[in-house]
Amino acid sequence: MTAGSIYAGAQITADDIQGVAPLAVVKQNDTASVVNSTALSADPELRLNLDANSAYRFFFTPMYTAVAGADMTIQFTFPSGATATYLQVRNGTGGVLVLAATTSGNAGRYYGNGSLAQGAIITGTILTASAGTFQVLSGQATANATAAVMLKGSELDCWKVG
Amino acid sequence: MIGDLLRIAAPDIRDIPPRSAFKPADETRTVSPGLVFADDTDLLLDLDADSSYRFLLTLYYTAASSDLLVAYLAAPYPAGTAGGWSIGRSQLGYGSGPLGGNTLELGAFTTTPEAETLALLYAQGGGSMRAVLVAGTIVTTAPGTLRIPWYGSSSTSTNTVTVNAGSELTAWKSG
Repeated sequence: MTAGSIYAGAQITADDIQGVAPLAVVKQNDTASVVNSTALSADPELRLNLDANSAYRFFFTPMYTAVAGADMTIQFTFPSGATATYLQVRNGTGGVLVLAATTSGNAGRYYGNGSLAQGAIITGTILTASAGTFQVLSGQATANATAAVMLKGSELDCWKVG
Repeated sequence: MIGDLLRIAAPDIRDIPPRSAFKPADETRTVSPGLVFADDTDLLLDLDADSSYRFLLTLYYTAASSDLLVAYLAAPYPAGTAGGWSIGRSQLGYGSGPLGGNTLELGAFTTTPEAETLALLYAQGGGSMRAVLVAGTIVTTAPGTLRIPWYGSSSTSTNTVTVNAGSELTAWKSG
């Protein structure tokens, strides 16, 4: 149930009201990647707890810095058994604008331009089977001595739509 | 709108979250050289009369590199009938037709309020799954269902075009 399913005379439950406003987290601190490695790290802030057997529309607007050519990899983890389909509007290799369509968990390469902050838009659908955590992972796309950084102000939102 | 009420009614609560329709499974059609539109079987969204909506469409599709997905955002009135809806939108996708060749382009479009077929989307396939992102505003005059009729266009009649699972149409009531 979501609030969109409420009808006159119906009892309003907590479950209904959960669909009224989005789950949202705005990053409060910069997070630097592991250096000299392409290992991805779970962002300590960009995570949301999703319900079982539900549908969500999500919207992620990262802001980041990375050395040009080393770039940043952004990936997601979803609750066990979930299916996700989403698009990424980002500057890809060499700074070329990319609109990429992808499915659960696939990573994208996000162009870096030194200390100049970069942005992207990622939106899509998550269908859950089990309750669990939807989380952002990030790291260097190519190993470099200078960390890629996920910047404060990056935001992750999820609307429960079914 | 909820801000105008002393008593909260069920429809006011329903209007707070977005309305959403998504595809649970792929839908594949054999391409055709002519304009043979059929509504997407899942992307259907009921909208109220005399309202405005912020909408977001994320459409995923798979087609051969030379083939097109041709789709409309369609309102409930027959062509030429007064009182239809109006749609303004920005669209990011791999274009053909009004968007040019098979390159990523961002375009802005508006439509006349009386047309049944309000907003035409063209998207060229690349052989693997691609996406179109459309964001805009719909102003309604009568209640009805927002639909996405589409077909695949190709010179090779044995090809197919698929609108992929996960495609989603979402609308927030804004007035």
